[in-house]
Amino acid sequence: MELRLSRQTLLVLEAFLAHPEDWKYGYEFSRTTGLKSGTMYPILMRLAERKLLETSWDTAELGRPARHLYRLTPDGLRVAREHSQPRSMARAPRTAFGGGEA
Amino acid sequence: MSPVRRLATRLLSGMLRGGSPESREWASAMRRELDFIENDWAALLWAVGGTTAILGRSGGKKIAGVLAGIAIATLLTAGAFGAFALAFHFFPHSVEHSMPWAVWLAVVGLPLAIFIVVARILWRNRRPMAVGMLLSASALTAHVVVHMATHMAKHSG
Repeated sequence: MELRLSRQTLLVLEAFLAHPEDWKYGYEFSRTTGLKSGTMYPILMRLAERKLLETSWDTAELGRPARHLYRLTPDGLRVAREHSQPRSMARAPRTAFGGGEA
Repeated sequence: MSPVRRLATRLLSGMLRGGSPESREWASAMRRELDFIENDWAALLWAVGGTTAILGRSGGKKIAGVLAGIAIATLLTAGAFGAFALAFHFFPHSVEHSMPWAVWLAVVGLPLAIFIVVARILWRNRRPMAVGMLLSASALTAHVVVHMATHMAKHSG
């Protein structure tokens, strides 16, 4: 099944790309992306279903519950990079003669 | 624990118990994040969003779509009845004697036609809502058939 790359999905992929090796917590990731839980979790679920996102539980600290962690798989990173490049190029400022930035 | 936070916890705990097996891990993840949200209202918003996400995954979105279709159809029918009642109020003689067909058209024909056209438009992208409208159209048709049959039986008997 094809992944629907909505504006919010692209936002999520870009946020993961900022620090691709790091595991992210749900609530902090929601604050980073500015997405509400009702928007963010369905995206994370779809990415995980397509094996683009890996999930894990961190080891619980004393008196704190274990938390769910997320980061992109190698396939997820590839998809994120593929879709982030054209967007950043499209956003590149143009010169007075219509050319993109070098 | 404040009542707001208790409600947030209950919402996600309910999803954890009643959600589909594959959504339980996610419900549990959302539930545990609650402990890291300091503001109670933010926690409630988090839980409401999470509940929507879980319900959407468990087919709740489809049910909500069908219900929305039925609600729109009900509003349309109520609007048609309202328009008919207004017309009858202002022009009782014309409506009753000169245009009996207009009554049927306003109360039954027009809503039915709208249901079918809208359902056809929604079928590709919002199928559950289209199903809701078609269910309403079927219910309205059945109601009219029963009404007419009863009316005819009364007159012939």
